[in-house]
Amino acid sequence: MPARTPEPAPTAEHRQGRRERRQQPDRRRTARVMFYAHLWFGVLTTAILLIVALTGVLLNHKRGLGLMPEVEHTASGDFAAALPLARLVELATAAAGGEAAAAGVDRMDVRPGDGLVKVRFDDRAVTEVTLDVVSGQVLHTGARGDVFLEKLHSGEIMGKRWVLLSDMAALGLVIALLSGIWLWLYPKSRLQ
Amino acid sequence: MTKLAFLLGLFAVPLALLFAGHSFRRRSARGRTVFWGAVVGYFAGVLLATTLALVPAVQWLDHAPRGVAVQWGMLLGALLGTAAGWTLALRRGR
Repeated sequence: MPARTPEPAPTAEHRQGRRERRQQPDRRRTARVMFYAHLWFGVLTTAILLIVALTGVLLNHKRGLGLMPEVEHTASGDFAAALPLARLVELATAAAGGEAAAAGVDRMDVRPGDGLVKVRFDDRAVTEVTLDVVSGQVLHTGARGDVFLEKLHSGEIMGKRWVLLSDMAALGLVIALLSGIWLWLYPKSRLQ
Repeated sequence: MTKLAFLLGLFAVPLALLFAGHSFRRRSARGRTVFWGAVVGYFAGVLLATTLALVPAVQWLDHAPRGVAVQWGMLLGALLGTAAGWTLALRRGR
């Protein structure tokens, strides 16, 4: 019986191959996790992210699209001679009328440099009346479409706690992005 | 109720479609037709709900047609699409 030749000692290449073969199951498991994470989070956040993306684009171009009124004005007098806030609210409410007046004032945005005040109402259309602070002249009356879009963008349109929906969509997007990058960078580890 | 319908349309329907699509190849021809009906119906519902949510840029009322379409659109779209797929499968004799 011929003597059995001993196996040659493992070379550096052999050792590297053994290391890679041990890493294969781990890498395949990671690839499977990344694949399904990318798939599931991508699908689950599709509808929300579509709304967030569209509202984001509209908000970027709110002035051009006429969603936010742009009133050019120079002060008609010294700011120290401005009408009292209560008087300005009266004038704005009279100008707004209807649902806006019934809803009441939400906030007032005073611009001393421009000599105007923007009185925003709490109605569905978010009506805004722009007045001269000194004379009380109504400069513009119109809807603030961008406020509605901001609330839709953040999820606040359904209620204050619903902003968590946008947070979840953002987290899902980040997971989908990271898993996508992983799947792109490690093609050999992709599922067979 | 409307908020529940909105949440179901947002998460439950995509989850259900994901599960249904997982074993797509092993399904019968009828099952595949119903699945595609649900997918097409759902995305039609998403497009409709998204468009109506944005246009006009005014808060919708829950009880008004626009509000109902926004909050129920995705769920109803999926259900109608499933029904349409089922009907089509029956007509084709699958």
